[in-house]
Amino acid sequence: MSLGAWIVMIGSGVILFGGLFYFLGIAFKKSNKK
Amino acid sequence: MKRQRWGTRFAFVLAAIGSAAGLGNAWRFPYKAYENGGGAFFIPYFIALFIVGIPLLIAEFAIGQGFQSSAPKSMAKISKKFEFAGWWAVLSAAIITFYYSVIMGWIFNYLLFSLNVSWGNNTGDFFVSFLNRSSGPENVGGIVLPIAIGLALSWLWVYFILRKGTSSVGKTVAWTVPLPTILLVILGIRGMTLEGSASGLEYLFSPNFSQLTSATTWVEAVGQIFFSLSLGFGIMIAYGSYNTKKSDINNNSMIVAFGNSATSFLAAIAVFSILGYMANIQGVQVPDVVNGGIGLAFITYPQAISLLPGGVIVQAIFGLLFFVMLLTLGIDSVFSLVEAVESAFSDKFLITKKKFLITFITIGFLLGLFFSTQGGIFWLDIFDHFVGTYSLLVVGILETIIFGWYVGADNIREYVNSVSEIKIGKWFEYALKYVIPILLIFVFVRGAIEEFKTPYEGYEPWALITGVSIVLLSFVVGIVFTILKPKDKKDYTKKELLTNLESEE
Repeated sequence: MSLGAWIVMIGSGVILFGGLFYFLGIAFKKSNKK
Repeated sequence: MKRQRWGTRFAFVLAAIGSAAGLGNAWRFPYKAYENGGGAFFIPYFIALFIVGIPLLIAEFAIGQGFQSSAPKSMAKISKKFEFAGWWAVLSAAIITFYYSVIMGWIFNYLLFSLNVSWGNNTGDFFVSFLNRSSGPENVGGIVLPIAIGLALSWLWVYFILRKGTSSVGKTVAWTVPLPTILLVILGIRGMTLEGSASGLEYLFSPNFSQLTSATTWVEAVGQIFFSLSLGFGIMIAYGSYNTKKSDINNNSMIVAFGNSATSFLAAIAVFSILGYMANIQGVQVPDVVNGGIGLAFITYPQAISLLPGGVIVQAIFGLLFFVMLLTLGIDSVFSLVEAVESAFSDKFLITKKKFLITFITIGFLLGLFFSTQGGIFWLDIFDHFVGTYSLLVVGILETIIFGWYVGADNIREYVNSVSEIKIGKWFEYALKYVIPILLIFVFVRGAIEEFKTPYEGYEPWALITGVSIVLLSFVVGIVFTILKPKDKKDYTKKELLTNLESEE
């Protein structure tokens, strides 16, 4: 695979799963506070 | 009637992700990405996610949760003259369940076929003979029994999921949402460890930036986000209405939007890695084997499974994994569509859940039989093209105008920020009032012009006119439901709307 394809694959994965777990983390933190 | 509630916050989030992540994530997104610049497509896709998908999702959740009502009743609370838009949304949802459940019926059959990989090597002919497909939409032919049985199973499953409302839905989504994700990871890992998979992923992810200068790429990205998030059906409004008024909206919307796109991303890897392997084995180029939609799920992917090393048992296992993945992806979308319709009827006509489900499922099964005929696939395609595209776009445009301008994007923002962990900025107001309607109108007009230039899939004009008529029929029936007197006879005013949005529970 070319470098460009690697960058897109890893970059998109990081944005999507990073975003998902970041917002899940906020939700968990709030539910633990209660 | 006391409004049902989600058991937990995560039951709601999972149900919303389950609704958004459907068959399209597996068979539409990978193909669209490949077709529109590969890796470069992710740029307009992410932009569309942030300026179209997330704001509209927040607005739909806010309206449902703020008014504690289904789509038509929420619209009626905004103004009686807008109630038809809510009905149009849920009637489109109803029509979609009639053929979506038939695709679920095909998947049930393919689960059985997986056991001995009965599709063999000529999966195209196998699919045509399974459907007993006629020559075109003009030859409807007889009902294909195995499909009708699969259809009955789908509806039966929907009944059992919805019979106890949010409590049974909560229990279902606890496994039907994580399971396809796990299966996609397994299929992706298997795909990536096959020889030649890298060439498939290269076609998917290698960026062709010249495509970014094409309007088509941007329109496709907006369309992909809009259609993928279950917007414009009234589903997210109904799901939001089962939350208490103080439930978080912004963070939940982010989780749903990212969860949905993450599912598409996993599906794209699972699909393209195995397509790369398939091209390698057959000694052809990846573009020669790339396919999207029904063709990908029932022809190309089964063919790739037939080519897997390890013999029939391994192939059967991966066939089962693939079709269980599709089944669990699809079922959450089907029952969420039914739920949007159920909440609308329950709100206006105070009909009980059991009575509604039995009536709707009977009608759904009987109408589904039409799509289970020999010519059913053609009609399914035509209905999906018109109802699944144009009705949704018009409802989406109406929503942005009603929510953004009539309710007020500032009022919605104030409400969602008052109940949410993370706050959204003024950009939300610009997105909802200007950017989204303009983009959706652009997508609509562009598509409509294309319809006149090239008849969809070369179908005869009368078949296409029937498709347009169904869109118009759902609009007219929506008007009729609007005119009918509600059972609760409550008169809503704009003043109530504002107190509704701002008041605490």
